[in-house]
Amino acid sequence: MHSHEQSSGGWALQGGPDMLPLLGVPVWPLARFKPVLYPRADDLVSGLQRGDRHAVGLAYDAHHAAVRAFARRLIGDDAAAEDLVHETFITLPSAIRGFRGDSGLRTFIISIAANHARHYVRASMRRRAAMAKLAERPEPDGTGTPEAEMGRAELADILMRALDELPIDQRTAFVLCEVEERTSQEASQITGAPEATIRTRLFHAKKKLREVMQREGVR
Amino acid sequence: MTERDVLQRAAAALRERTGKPCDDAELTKARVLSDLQRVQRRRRRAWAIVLPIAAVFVGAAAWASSAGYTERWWNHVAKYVVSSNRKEAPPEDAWPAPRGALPAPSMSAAIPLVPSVSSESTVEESLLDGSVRQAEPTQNLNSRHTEHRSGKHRSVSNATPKESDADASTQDGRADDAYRKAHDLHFVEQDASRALAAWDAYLQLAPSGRFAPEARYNRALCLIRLGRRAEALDALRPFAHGAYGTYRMKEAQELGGALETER
Repeated sequence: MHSHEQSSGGWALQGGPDMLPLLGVPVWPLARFKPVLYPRADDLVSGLQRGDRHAVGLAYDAHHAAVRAFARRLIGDDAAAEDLVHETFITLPSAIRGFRGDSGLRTFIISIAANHARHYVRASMRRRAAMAKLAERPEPDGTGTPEAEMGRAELADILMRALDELPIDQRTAFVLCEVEERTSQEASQITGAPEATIRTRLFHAKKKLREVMQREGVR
Repeated sequence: MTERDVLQRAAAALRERTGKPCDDAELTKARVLSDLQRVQRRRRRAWAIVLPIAAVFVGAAAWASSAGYTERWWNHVAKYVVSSNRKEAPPEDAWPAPRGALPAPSMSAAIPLVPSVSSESTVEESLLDGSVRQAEPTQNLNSRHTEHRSGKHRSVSNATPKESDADASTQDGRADDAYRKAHDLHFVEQDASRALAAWDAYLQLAPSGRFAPEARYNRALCLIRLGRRAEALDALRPFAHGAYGTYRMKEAQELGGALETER
């Protein structure tokens, strides 16, 4: 007995062939075929445009990990990132009407997340700022702590705090290009800004981040 | 370590930390699908309410159209929108039923007024169903009034002012305001003297306006009330002779007969 399924289309076979007496040829009974409704990516997009829940479920299965990773990197808060993922896929059926097919579906879905991220980022920044005030974090003494002695987790924390000092556009550009290692063309498709603008934002973001990390004592 | 390396390593650390699979993925998927279902159900419920209402509306509109109500309603509305150049008379119920309308003097059987001017009417259109159509040509009708005019009341302007299209709408607005004012003075305040002046003012603004026949008739009633019988007879004579078709014809004949009798 074997079964295989495709996540977004094709025919899902369950069980093995029966030896039906049809000229001695093994035949899979029709009842065991479970057709998936969207055999092609275009069909999936059509299904999303119709608001079909099954299509949304398939899109979620295929792309939720990438959207979640982007959300966590941009917002820096797992719970808020989960809410952003939820909101992204909820608005997908209405947003997909603007999908022209000039980028991949995953890129398009991440662009939805980027558009909706603004208030989540602000909220998480405010939360971090409030927690920083409450927590007794020693001020950097200016002598500089060698990066090698810091854990990677702490380095990530410092970067996330430094990202809070950037405007949302520069923050998004940095996360897309440096953290997610996307090309400026992909980042341009996600944000809707021209490539040159993305590169400019990235330049200013890196400059600012260097200053902040130096101030934090990371050399 | 260069700063660039620090930034790259920090980015890598952030990438590594946030790239791990999440335990809440299935829960979030369930939330998404459940919320979508709720939205779709809400939309279907809204359609279930809106569609029958729309169907009833469309059905009622179709029935009204086939029964002729739509045309009647449209004509009624159009009279308030279309400019005074249209050749249509306002319906008799264009204004609310007058409260405390001037009472007609008691009279015996109606005696038609003896016409003192030629009964040749220059009115080219007859009335339908008691509604008034605008008399035409205006100059001929006004000249008939001029023959019987006394010096006690202001004359109605004979000339239809020539106005540009831009001024016409302003003129219409002023005429409508003047009519409303006269109507209030006549039916609400029941001040015959001021109402007479107001009717004259309206007729001066719009001597061939869409409410001109009604204004002329109400003016005649004011004259009756003020005891100016000769002028009232002059004002009622066109109505009695059918210059405005059957609009107020019977009433004018009865009133004129009563006034003649009281002389």
